[in-house]
Amino acid sequence: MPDEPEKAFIPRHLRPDLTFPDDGSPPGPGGTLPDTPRPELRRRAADLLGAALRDCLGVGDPDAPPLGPEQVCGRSSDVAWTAVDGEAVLLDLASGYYFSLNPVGTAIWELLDGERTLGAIHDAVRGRFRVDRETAWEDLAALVRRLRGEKLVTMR
Amino acid sequence: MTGTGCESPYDVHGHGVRVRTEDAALAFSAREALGGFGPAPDGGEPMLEIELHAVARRTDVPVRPSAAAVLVGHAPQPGGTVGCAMLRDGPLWLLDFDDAGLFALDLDAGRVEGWLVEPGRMAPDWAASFVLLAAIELLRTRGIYAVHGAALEKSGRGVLIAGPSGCGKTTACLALARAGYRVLSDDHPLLRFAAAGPELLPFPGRIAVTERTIGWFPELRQAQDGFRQDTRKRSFDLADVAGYRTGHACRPALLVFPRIMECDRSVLEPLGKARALEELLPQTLLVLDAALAARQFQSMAALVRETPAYRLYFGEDVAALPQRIDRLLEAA
Repeated sequence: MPDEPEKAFIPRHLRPDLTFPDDGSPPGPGGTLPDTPRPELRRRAADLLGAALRDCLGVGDPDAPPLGPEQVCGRSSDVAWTAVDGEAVLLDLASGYYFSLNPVGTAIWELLDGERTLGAIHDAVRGRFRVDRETAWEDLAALVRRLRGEKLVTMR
Repeated sequence: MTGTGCESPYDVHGHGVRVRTEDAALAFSAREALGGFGPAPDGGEPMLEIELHAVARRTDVPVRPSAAAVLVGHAPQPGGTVGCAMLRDGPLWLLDFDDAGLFALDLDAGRVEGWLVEPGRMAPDWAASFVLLAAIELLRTRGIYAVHGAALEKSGRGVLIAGPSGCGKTTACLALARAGYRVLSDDHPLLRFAAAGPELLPFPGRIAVTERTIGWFPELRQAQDGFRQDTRKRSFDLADVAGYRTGHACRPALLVFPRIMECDRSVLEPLGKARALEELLPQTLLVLDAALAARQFQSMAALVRETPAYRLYFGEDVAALPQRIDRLLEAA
């Protein structure tokens, strides 16, 4: 399973009062972070953020189980969807919310048939788009996490 | 008519909609909302039924959500600024308008029963919008969908101008009507999907305009005697204005999504089909019953697939719009 890369939990430009180097070194002189382990900081930050904002900032739900290539993900039966001009528009029939996917997201969405594993979808995405292995997994996992968070897919 | 109220079956494009009420104000609202349609003939498929009651206080509404009711979301309250809560309660959908009242929808039975608090004190267009909401939800079960928008027709080709309140729909509608386009509706035309394709259907009724819009179209003052002050606008009957005509059912040929801009010259730019669908859905689809919503969603997707869509950045050059729409219609 590819490792999900470590990232600053909030982009620096959104938190100008803090610095949070990616290399694990202590906060810089401009920072005010206490001497708290990174996982704990991540968890506290995630607790403070709504699901949508967490997703925008690339911060996963701390309680959500990690994704692995052996897992199978399928589109929820509560979602009506269609692809127009290569872009999927989704309607969550449970909430009434609409979602749109860009062409890459649409390609992944169409592969989420409840039969293929995420590993197989990862391979298919790499075969279809010019993208390195790590980036393809990162993007696939990010999308699936978002879809899972919005209850648009089911996992097994 | 029975007593002070009415029992009026209206023929809405082949579907009978009957409004029963014993309240004079609600009967007036029903005629305001649906009176442009002719009487429904007897026989045929079962009527869609709307039964409305006036109550003095919200606490007089006899229906209350049961313990099993589930809040599924909020929708804009007709004509108001406060949202209405949507609850699923067994076979019923409850639309709770807070202090204004409550509607209970039995979509399988094709029936709405509603209670409105002192409807006689509501502005006419506001009270009528509740009747309209009930009718729209019932028509959805028959595959007829209202769109928050304006629709016009020229030479049998339809232009649907959709968008939220204040985006310029009515101004665009009147600009086209003045240039000879025939009006199907300025606020909620209907769409029907048959094997032959989508069809835009008229929803006859009064046109509501702001004073600013009247400034653009001074000929509307011909309808001065027919003007009525509603909550935010004045409304009039198109038949009172010379040169303006109403239209008939037609095939939609153009989708336009306006947005008022502070600029002199309007810009029309092609809109991608996914964007068009995103723009259209919030103006037509209220998700209550999942199967009905899924069917409407796919119908709307079919519409945007086969119909060119444009974003209208609507500037001050209102009079130039018809020529531009003419060209797009010719190209469509």
